Amino acid sequence: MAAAATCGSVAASTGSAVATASKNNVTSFQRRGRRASGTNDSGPRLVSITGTRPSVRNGQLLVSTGLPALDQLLGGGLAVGTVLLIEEDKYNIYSPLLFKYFLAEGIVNGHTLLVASAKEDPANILQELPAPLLDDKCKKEFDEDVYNHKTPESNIKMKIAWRYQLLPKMEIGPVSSSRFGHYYDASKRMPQELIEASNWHGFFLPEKISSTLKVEPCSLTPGYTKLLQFIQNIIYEEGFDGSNPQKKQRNILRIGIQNLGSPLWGDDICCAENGGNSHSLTKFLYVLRGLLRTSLSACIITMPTHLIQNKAIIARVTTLSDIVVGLESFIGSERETNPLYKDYHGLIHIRQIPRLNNLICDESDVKDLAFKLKRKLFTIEAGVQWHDLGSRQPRLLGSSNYPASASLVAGITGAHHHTQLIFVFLVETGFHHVGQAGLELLTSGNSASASQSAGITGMSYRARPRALYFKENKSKVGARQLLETREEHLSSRLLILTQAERLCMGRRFFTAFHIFNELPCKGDCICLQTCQTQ
Amino acid sequence: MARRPGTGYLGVVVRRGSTRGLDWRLGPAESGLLGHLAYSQRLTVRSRTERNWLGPSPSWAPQADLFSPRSSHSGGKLTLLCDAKTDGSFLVHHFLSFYLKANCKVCFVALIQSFSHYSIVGQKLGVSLTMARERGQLVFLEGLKSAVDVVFQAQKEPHPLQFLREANAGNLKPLFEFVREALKPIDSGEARWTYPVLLVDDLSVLLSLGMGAVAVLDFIHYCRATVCWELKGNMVVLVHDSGDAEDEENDILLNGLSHQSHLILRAEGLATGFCRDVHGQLRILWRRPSQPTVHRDQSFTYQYKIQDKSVSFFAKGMSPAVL
Repeated sequence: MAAAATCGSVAASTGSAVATASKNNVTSFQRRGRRASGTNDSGPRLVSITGTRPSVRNGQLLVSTGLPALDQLLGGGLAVGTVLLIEEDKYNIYSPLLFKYFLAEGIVNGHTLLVASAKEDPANILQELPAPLLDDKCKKEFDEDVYNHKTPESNIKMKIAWRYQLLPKMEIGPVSSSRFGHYYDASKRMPQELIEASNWHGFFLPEKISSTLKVEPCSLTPGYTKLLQFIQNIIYEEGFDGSNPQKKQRNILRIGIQNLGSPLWGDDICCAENGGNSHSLTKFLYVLRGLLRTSLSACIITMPTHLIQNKAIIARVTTLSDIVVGLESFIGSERETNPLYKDYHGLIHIRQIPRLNNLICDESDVKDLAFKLKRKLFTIEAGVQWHDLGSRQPRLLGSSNYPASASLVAGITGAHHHTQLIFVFLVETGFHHVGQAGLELLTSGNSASASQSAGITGMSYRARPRALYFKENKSKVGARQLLETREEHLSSRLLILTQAERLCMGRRFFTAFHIFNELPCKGDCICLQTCQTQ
Repeated sequence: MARRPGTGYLGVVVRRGSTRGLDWRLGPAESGLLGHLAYSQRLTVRSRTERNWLGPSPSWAPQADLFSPRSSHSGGKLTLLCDAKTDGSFLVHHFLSFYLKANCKVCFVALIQSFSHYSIVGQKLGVSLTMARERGQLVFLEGLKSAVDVVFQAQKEPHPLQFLREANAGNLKPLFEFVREALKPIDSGEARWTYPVLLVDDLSVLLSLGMGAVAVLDFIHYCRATVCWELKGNMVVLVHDSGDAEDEENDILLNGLSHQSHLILRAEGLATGFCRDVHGQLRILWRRPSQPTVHRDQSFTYQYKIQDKSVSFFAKGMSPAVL
């Protein structure tokens, strides 16, 4: 694939030059083929494994998660040797889908699979994998934009809704069946011959717990210990870590662990707050990550974090995993009937992206993402107003160029028609005490005295919201100090935006707050008092 | 024998020490609570011309001054790196490359990432970890790989991560023995390295692996006694701040270390949320400044943006993207 070749050459120039500790290493210019640090492979390791590509940023080997949209959000894909943790949604409806997409991608690419579950027999899980979409069919499937039959048909189009049509979708149109990332039809099953042709290993806990595997003394629960033994066994015997002299493996092992941490695994963190073995899960994750880092494997874990009683454990688990994606479905919540979320089935939160071999990571700018399960396809879209409408303050994205925040605010006004934005202040360059007076104005509400003391030159009134213009000054002190205080004022519902942020908002933002259209463009920062939404 | 009031503690006895000036130092005869508390605090009076190793500078271009190599070394500093709602690993990479360039002997306990990760980032920052390891300048304990070895194979001699095999929360004594062995001065005559440094990436991981907060604090205490006081080296540790996830053990660890450390670097995310141009905010707190004329417990706050090979700092609200 030409794209992969160019990616590879870019990666060679930027991410290369790592001399590992192997004694066979003569030259220091080696392309980073994989993360294995203790391997004995000598010479340049050219990446020729199907279904993988090197990352553009750091030459890391990536595999697809099965959802091209998710790959794009994660910065190209899932890096080999890392753990993708999926925080399950409340009724465990959509997270098994992501799990199955991951496994299906492995089958299509010919990777070896290791499926571990305490609830379902891995053979049954494999039977339910979605079928891959091939080139000639995919365009036809895409045109069928039928919603899930559960959502009621609605003829009324909200004023807000048109906004979302303008926003770009995260998915890439499946023009061709590319070698990295495939599309799957959720309504059909994977053909039996593909499953039989694949090499897979299953770990079903009720079967394994009774058998006598050699168990090392460890403080993990027996289920976790057996699973770790099993994974280490497979990795060693099939040669994924290069330590087996008989086997030279050039394939990826995809590990999928379902419902880790649930009581079915013998762990009680979901039942009790301070259980007996509260460190079992975190130790398991640590050792698992150690196994993955030294082998050609990638792992997906789904975990019912909404059941974990102790919040500290969730924080620790997040730190110990590489990528954390949270799913939040609307079923059963008040958002199901909310007209704003009418088109979507839930939200996706990318909670953590690792910084591998780099000081920075490819974080996507868009933070509000929603997913929708169409009849056949699982899509992720951006720009949905995701914050809880019941909260008091609208969250503002820092300096995002995205019109999402405009829609964010418009959503408030659409849903609650009694917004009461009071004042808008434009702080011209550095009029420090005017800025302070302006803030006092917001809190006091008495305009006459404050305007006299502040030296306000012009004022305009329009029902409740008012715009105040201040005189310009040379120094930049006031603006900077106001910016420093922005965190404190956030708690009192006062938003302070910089010039760049204000420009990003766009006219609709201010119109929504019933502010004049003709705003002077000068100014370092702007203060807004937000409305109290019900 | 001149007596000056100590900044902080318990009327420590003063005696003339090295030729560099007055040293408040407690001899090994001190015991009991006084000795236990006070030996951890060593103050050195310096002349005004000598700069502190992280010289406080009021200029708006702090990156030159923040991490400049120091002119003289008095030893025994514990630096605490803390991150809240963001990733503070760039500080660890910085200190690693800083100390390796300063020709120090470094013992790096890397519990959270693999060797290749640090080595690739180190190359971007200008040091080669593999060369340093071959020369003997760097002793690297790779937590992830060692954990696999410990859990799956019974070890003959005590392994630094021996506690992984134990059911009950033990202590970190094998790990401390490893550190002491790694940093002990070689009696070969000439000193190749200037002073020893212990770097620990992510003490919070030890809590996740079953150690109690007290056990980790004991480990740090022992390491400070050896590295900071006996060998006159430095220590840099990273701890996560869990914030609103009520992790009591982590809070105990963080508070305990904050009281013992000389310098606290706290990387926080912006309170207003995600920003593409400003990745976070760094709060620098000197807890025991050595110059009595300088106002004690100085604190600076800078915002930063991490780039591919460096980090740029600027004052709050003064990001180049905004101005």
